[in-house]
Amino acid sequence: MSRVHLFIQSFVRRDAVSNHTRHLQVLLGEHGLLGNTYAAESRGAKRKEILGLDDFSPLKFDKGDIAFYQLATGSPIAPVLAEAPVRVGVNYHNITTAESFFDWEPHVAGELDKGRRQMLQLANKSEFAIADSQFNEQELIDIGYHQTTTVPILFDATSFARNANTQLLEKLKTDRANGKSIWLFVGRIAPNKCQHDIVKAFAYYRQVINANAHLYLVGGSSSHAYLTALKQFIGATGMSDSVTLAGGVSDDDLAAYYQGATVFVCLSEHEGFCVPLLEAFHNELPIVAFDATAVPETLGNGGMLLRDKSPAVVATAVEELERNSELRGFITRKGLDRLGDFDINKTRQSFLDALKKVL
Amino acid sequence: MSPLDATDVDLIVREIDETVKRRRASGGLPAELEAKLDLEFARFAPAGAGGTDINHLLARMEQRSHIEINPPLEDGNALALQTKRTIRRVVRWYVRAIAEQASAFDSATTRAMRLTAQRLDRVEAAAYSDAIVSLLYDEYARILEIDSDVAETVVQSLRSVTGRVLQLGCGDGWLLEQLQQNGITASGVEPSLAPAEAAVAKGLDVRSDDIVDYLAEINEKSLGGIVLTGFGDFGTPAQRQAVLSECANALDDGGVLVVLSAQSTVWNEEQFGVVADLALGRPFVPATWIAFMNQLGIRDARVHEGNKSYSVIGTRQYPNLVS
Repeated sequence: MSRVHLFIQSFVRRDAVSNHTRHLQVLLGEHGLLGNTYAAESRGAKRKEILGLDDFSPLKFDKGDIAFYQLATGSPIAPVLAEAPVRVGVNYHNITTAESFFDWEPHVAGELDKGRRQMLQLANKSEFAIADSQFNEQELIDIGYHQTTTVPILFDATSFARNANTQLLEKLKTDRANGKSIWLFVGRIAPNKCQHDIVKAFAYYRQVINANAHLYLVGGSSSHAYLTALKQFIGATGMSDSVTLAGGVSDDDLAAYYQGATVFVCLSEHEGFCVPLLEAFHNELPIVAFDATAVPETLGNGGMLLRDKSPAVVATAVEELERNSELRGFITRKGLDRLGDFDINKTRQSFLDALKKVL
Repeated sequence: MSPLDATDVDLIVREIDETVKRRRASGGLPAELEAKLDLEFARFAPAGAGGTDINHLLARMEQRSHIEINPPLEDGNALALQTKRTIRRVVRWYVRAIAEQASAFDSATTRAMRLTAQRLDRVEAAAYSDAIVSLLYDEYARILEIDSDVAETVVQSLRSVTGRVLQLGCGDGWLLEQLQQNGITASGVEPSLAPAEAAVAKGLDVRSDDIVDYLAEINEKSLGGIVLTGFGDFGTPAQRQAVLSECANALDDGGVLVVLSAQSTVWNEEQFGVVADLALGRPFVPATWIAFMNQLGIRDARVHEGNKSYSVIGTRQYPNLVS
């Protein structure tokens, strides 16, 4: 029987594409379809579980085996697969546009640009491509990929039902009980995620609507220059005590933030899927989000979708959400409904169907 | 009370947009706070990351035109700190000489650019002010008249459209009402405030916004139909082509684009006097719109001529990229 060999640039913890790859390993393993998993970089994985790119040889492939590449950035994997005499399929998770990094981290912009060129390079070689959103699928179609389909990222909401850090959660709950508005965004600190726009809206909210508020920005940094500017900006607006840059946090802390916050605010300019929206759905945390790229598709009716993210509009939307309990209830209910669309049993089956078609 | 549905949430978001806009205009919201926050962040962002406003960019260039020759020395290690101090002291004379020349060059360059930008502002202000544009929009919204048979053709052309229809320059919503009566889901944008408010009072889904700004925010391939009403009658050819290009991007495959225009002959009538004086251009003949449409992938254009107006209706066709 033909097998599927997985290829991923970075196999690490707390990363959406790595988590997706782990789910794929389990799914393919259950059906006897799993080959090897190769990563250009890996941390925290067993050697047997993940092979390096140097371990790859087409000779290890049986006839009909497929190299299934998790495409999300520039990687040495792409040229290797483009040249190798093996069948190739692409699982596209989106590549952030180089423009958003160009002024901040030119070398990152270069990597992203390389990723886009590699994506083009693989278009003819790939026999099929699976995108995790229709937005991503359209990008594939636009540059000439054929036999494309959309299957959402494999996300297991039940794995998120973990124990929250009780100390942190109690603190947040006490703050809420005292009328504090608690804003949350989860995502890497990066120019395309536009945390600076969240800080602007939050500053406006505190000055015009409710001074009793705190913003938590959770996520490691993808840009030292952007992180530095963000810290300076927060300091200059006198909000160092009201904005917490939490960095990468443990699973328990993450659950506490989701359960303790009053609103999830996402003002990203570029998202290929946006897994944190699903996490917010799961925790019944109402969402205010900016209408950009794949965000409206993932959000569905599960949040307030803004076409204008100027501070006054965002702050007023958050105020409305906090004031209007009927609206809040409706949005969180719709969020749970939307989460049901991404139920891992459904997405696993869709993935299996899509892969069986090409095996 | 009936429970909320998704349309209600969308309406609430639109109401928030409108409320913020009204309160900004009336001074009820501190607009200067938003500008101050933008400028504050721009102080720490790279020069190119602060958007396209030339005055912002120049201000940031000016802030950075002086080269600091005393880099920070902080270091937890006393030996490293002493080493840094020594290096700084030894090379200061050399670095200063270079830095002074570079700062002088930067300063002269930014000064020249500042003067150029100021002159450009004066040229633009002399050519066309916001007040003139506003008067032109208001006047045109008041006098533009579309023949009933032309309007009927437009309604018929949009009956089979799948997806939302957007009318740009919808006035008081006269066409939107007809579209709704024919079961077509349509919303509108009107730059002139009075007719937009009249449309909203009728219960129509209308926003008062700048058409070019609004178009720029629309997602690609998200609309089933666009009706461009009168807006293209008085800009430069390049402006009209740019708006048409945005429309082509916003239309889904098979989407319908309608250009509704005054006949160029009515432009000479007395009531068009103010508009004719203020406009940068006159209404195109239908063939010019068709030529633009062909350039932008809008095919099968057909023309319906009335006494005072005409329509050009075409279909957006994307090339098939899938082999």
